[in-house]
Amino acid sequence: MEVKPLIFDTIINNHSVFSIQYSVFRIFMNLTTNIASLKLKNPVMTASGAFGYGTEYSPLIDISKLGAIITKTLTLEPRKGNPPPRIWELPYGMLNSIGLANIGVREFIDRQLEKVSRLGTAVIVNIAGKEAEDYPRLIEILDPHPGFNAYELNVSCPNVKKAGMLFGIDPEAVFDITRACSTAAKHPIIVKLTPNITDPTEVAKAAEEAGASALTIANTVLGMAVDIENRIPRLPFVTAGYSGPGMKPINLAKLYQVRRAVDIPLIGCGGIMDYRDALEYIITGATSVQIGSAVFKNPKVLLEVIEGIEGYMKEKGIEDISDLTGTLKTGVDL
Amino acid sequence: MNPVIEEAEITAKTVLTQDLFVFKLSAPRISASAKPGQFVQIDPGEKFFLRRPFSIQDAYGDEIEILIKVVGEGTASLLRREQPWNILGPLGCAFSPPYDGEICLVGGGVGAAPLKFLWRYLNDIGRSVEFFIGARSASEIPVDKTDPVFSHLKIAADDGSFGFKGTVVEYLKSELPPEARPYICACGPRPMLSALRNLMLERDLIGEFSLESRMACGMGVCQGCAVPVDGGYKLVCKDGPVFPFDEIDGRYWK
Repeated sequence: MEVKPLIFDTIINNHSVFSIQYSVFRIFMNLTTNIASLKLKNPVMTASGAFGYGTEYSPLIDISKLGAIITKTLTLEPRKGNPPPRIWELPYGMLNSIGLANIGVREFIDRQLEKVSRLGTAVIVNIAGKEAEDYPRLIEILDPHPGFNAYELNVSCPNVKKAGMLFGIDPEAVFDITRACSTAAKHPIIVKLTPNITDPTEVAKAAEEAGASALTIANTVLGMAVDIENRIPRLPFVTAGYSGPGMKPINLAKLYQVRRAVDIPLIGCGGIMDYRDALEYIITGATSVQIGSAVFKNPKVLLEVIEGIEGYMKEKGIEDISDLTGTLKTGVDL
Repeated sequence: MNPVIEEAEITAKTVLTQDLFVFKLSAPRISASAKPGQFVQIDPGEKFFLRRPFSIQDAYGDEIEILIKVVGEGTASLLRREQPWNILGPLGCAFSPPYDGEICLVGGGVGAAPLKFLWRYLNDIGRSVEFFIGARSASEIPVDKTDPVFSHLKIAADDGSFGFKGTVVEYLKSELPPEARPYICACGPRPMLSALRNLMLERDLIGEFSLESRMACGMGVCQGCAVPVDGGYKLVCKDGPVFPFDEIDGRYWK
């Protein structure tokens, strides 16, 4: 049943009756969304790399209100990361060349997992391997431990030679890695794709066929910046990952292409600065979204996006977010 | 560390030079927990993607004091920004001088800011402390002449237009008796810290340096502000900005 607040406005004059009806309407509004067996309380997640291991922002925001948190990428062994400088600010975002610096999967299990599991939201562990075999090995290590709900496979980091884009641009490699993980894991598998590919549909189909429960679209795009005074790259490894508002049109188009190629849920990611950006992804076909580097400037953006989506649904009289997902009217016969 | 976000009103502004300003901001929650060495991150406005880090140069009552040098468009934009300013802090770790013995503070340019807070704190508890500051010239001294600390400063100006003629490290060296072993707390540009490090190694001194880096999150999350420390990397925003000087790797000084 579709409830439209505008109708209440016009037909109910008694304020108290309106309030009661209004609160009923509030209760009915449904932002939940599913990734296979995993139910999220709303479609807003943190993007990997922008929220640490999960607890760091707890002094600043109520993390239990988020749909899910996604950890920084974990690898089999700790990684020191790339030499500094690692970041470069742009007028329209930032470049990063972190190089998957992380504490390693074992220290994460020993020192972080329990704390993260008590945050009151779904926890998705992001993993990457140097070799294809590292991915199922990571799952074998993580799977017996309680405290998290899904995996996200990073096959798309632009800043490391292996564990990086090389996997993500190759449908066969993505198929093999996803298959090895989906057969080994008790939790749903999300595959995070790269935007650094003209047509992402082959890779997306390979991941779906191999048992992925959802796809994240997408990681950072390859970028660079030059210091013209000294004629050197701004970051020592020359190229880096670009994130920021300029990513939205790029990843939105990728999501649009992939939406028409696969049936599993898609998670929109790239350049989301406010709820309007998130809605663009949802209307295009994402069932949920991830917010990354926008959190650095405004840690409260995650909660503001949830409230903004709710406000939009209220205004448009949409009871269930699933009634909004993929409702893009293209005007052309597809 | 328990950072908060506050919408801070500017309660006073002092112009030191054409590009150097002292701001007093009403940020009671940050002020209540700020320690010398910690910093805040301020949102410079819509046109800029990242916050800008500034050392806390004093904290008392409901207020914090910061020193802002205009170094680029971001800081210039911040100065034009309407109040309130959106401030995240306090961030990072504090200086941790030992409980006894002499302490010597060495600041270069805007690097004097966190040391000013430390000086006031140490002075209040009755510790013996000397405060050296270096500037390019008299017109670039990063401390307000009406500030109570000013009369206690040992100032070096590169061009000799104020106090000692030469660098702050040369001044310290000239004043330091061979047998003296003060604990050094320093903050400043990399060449200054490098020269200070050489002096400290030569005289067998120990101490801490506060380092700078380009920074994104300020919360230890993005790993963007890594510096080479102890054979690996540590984060200026969370592990630092203050590090034991001898743990900072040779890679940093190249």
